[in-house]
Amino acid sequence: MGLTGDVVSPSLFSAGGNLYTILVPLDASPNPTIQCWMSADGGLTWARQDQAGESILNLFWFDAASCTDGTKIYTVSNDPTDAFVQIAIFDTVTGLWSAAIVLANANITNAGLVPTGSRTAAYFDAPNNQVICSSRSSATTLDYFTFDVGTLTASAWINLLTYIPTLPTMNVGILQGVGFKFFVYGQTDTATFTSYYYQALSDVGVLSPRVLILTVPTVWEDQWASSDGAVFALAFATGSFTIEALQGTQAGPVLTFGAGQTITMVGDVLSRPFTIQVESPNSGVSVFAAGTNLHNVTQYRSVAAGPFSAGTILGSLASDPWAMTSSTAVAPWAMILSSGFPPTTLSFFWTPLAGPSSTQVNVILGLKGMKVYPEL
Amino acid sequence: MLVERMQHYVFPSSAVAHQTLNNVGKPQSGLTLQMDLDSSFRLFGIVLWNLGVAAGNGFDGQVALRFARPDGRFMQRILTSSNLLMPGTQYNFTGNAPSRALVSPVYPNVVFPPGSVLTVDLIGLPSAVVAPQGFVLIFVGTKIFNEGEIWAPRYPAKFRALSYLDNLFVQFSLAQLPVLDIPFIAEEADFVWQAGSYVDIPAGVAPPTTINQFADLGIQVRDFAGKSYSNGYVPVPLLFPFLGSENPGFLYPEIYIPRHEMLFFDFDYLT
Repeated sequence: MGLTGDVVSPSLFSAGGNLYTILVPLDASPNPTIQCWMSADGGLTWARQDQAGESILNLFWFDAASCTDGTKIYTVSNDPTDAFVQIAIFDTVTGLWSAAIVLANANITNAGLVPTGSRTAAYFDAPNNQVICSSRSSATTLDYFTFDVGTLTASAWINLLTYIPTLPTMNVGILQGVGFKFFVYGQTDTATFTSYYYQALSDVGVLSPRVLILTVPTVWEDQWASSDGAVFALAFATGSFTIEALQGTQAGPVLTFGAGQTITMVGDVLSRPFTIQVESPNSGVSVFAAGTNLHNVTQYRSVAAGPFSAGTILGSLASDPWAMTSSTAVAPWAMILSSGFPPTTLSFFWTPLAGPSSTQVNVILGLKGMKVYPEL
Repeated sequence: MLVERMQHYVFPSSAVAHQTLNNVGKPQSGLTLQMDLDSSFRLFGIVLWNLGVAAGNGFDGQVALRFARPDGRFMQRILTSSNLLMPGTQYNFTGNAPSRALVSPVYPNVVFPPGSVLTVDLIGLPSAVVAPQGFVLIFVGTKIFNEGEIWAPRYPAKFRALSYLDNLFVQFSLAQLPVLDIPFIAEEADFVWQAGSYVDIPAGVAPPTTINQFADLGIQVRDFAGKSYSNGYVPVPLLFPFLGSENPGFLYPEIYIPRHEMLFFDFDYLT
């Protein structure tokens, strides 16, 4: 398809009958030129848009996120030197970029250190005509700010969580609700587990205290969230072969999740990341995952909160001559699917974790030892 | 019951006046390394690791030094050439050749009480290197705790073991250093980390055909609770020798990581 680069998450948008995706070239990190690609044939072919208008952003890897108001795509990126936040705007009507807006005032500084699993999340808050971005505002805090797309001004960081610096925090995402938005994040406890929480933000701007969702065996960077306003879905990697998926409903500022369901990949080691997607308006939920052993992209589907199906293999990444020829050297980096469901197309993008790169050093440490299995 | 835990105390050459390293100043005496207060330290090895080779101003290991026991008595009679004290002072090259930080034994071992101050005297020796970048001196040993004082998981009463080589894969540009908090997770089962090996793929080439060695790279390992196994960055080839799988970097004691728990790795240039 000609697409190369790291995918800003989430990164597949439908506007005016076309598909759009936001990419940054992986090998140019931390100063990549952000790109918008468009497909007019349902994802079969892609063309880079307004190359002359692209902006160079300061960001690391996936420390950026996109959202759309239906016509414009807003991409928020974090500067790795902790100096500022940038917002790049692509207009799908005109097909042009606007110059990236640098929010370098005292309110919006810092953006998170990389890579500690605190991905940036962006959400378009239609009732207030603003972009909400959650990320880390310092090495020790998880915060959000709002960006008014009318006045192009931003709020200060608003604190969600202050945590112990030596413990990792995972910013899972922002879920769409009715009358409320929900920030979802995890924090590794001092013991042996990671706890996931949500905080509700009402449409009038009132932030509720955090609420524990669940505690799982410690994971890292492997958690995703999706919502269509009625169904709320979360997924966590809990092992080499397993994903734990939860589905929930909303009542005002309260989310209630059912019991977790375990999805087991058969014969394949889960590659990160995977993704979960609410199938609006089908009340279904799909988990999409790839493996580093068989190299298959597999869909697991639940209908009406029922059990997830056995995996349906959608395709194999092994056919790519470059990305999946060695399970030890490369791994799929991102898989994104259409935000609508059923999608007109299902698109997966991946980049090599250790691919050809002009600036990136790839360090591989081998830890020799043994696995220990307790016996009765 | 006592629990031993791997510990490296690093003495950076950035603590030494440059004139001293360059043999144009006076010897510096009484340089100190403050040990942690949380435990005793059993010293069983020393390492000298040269820096700056890749940059063309590499230190050549020509330094004379001595250091003291906790009671103040020196372990060397006079300032002694590092070539008599440490092996392997000419590693750390950029290139496709084995590299490892060798450890010279200290026997009998020396036990430093909690909070000890290790004192070092040293001076650079005549050298062709005009502006040497320096070296890192590493005191290798273990911390000694009472059981229950630290995160120290142990083997189950009965178990079966499977030999296993796990990988930690990190990609970064040099401008991004330091890279912090890279997790290594024991997935699927408990994992006992016993030894390490290393390879890297430099920027601008395609894996897996080209390998190299990223000189002057340091690493700091921290446990699940965030507690470090060193007081600073140690050379990667100490724990992870380059092209040295036949003789990997051994840990003593090994580190037991229960399933789903993790270690954290930080990377930065050595100074």
